[in-house]
Amino acid sequence: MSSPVQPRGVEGGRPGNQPIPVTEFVGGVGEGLHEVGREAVAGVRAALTTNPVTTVRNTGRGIAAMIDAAIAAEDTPARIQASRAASAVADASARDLGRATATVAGNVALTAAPAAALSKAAALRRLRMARPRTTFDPPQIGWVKETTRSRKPWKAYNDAATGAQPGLAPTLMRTMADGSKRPVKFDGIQGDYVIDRKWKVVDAPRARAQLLRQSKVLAEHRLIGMWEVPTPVQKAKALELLKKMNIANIHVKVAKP
Amino acid sequence: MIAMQVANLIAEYYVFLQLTDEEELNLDTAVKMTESLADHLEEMDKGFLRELVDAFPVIGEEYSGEAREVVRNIAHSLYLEEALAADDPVKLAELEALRDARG
Repeated sequence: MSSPVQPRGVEGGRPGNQPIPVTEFVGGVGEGLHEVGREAVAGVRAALTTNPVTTVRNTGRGIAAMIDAAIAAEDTPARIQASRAASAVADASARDLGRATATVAGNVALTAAPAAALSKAAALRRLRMARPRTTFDPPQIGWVKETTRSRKPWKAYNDAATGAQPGLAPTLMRTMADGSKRPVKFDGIQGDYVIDRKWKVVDAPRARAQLLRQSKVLAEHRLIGMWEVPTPVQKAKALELLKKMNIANIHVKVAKP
Repeated sequence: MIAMQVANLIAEYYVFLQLTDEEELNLDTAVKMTESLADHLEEMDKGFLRELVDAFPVIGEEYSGEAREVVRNIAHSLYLEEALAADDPVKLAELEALRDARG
């Protein structure tokens, strides 16, 4: 398989010539950008206009799909990185990509570009190596009062979500068509997963609207949703609904009460 | 007769949850309470739930426009036929196929 991006070695790329694993594996192109990225965002943007790695942007969803395949068996942090990278790469303008280079998304994209010419196993190793130095902004979680009361088990179940706070619901701000912002409520937060606990999955009009709302706000914040349901029966309903609505950034798992 | 009265009450509440303007009712709270309603209904005596399910399309005719559709679809939206067929795998498979076809 050929690729417009060929890794090449760089000698003396860093002051003192101390090799570090990340720059080693990313290769010449990656290292060049990595170094520039440490200097200034403007510098990254300049580099991107002349550097072959900008083809990352053009391969768009192809790269995203490759990342998905390569890390299918990976653990959560890598999945999050790749999801963000896929989103960033697929939707990025040149400016976005330049900015992202200083963040995890850019790092994974850079990792992925040379990997196009290499095996899937190599890509996996690179993602794993990339993980320790990746940093990204903490999720923009807000909290609003949650005053719904019930003596039924669904209430206790929802309140028991990981990261929940008594009497408060974690929220993400969604941007409306007119530019105003409104909160979308969830039940919990665990790392980069925002949790919505559903004692019963329903297919009501507003449940579908909520699904779209959640998916959109999660994409805006480059996060992944997790519906936690109490039984496999509810999980099957949830998966069917997500499939029908074509939602890919919300996952489902059974969390026993 | 009692089933009709209860079904009327549920329909009224359900329309409130589905169609009240966002300025008056938080959308995520509405979904939460819809899920709670589904839970309550599933727990009901199966014979009574059957009567309720059969009553919703009749009651729907008393509403107009969007509310009519919303009430007619209560059983579908809240998986009530599935709740009634919980012990019948054949019926459940049939319901799943119907749901798939409906989209």
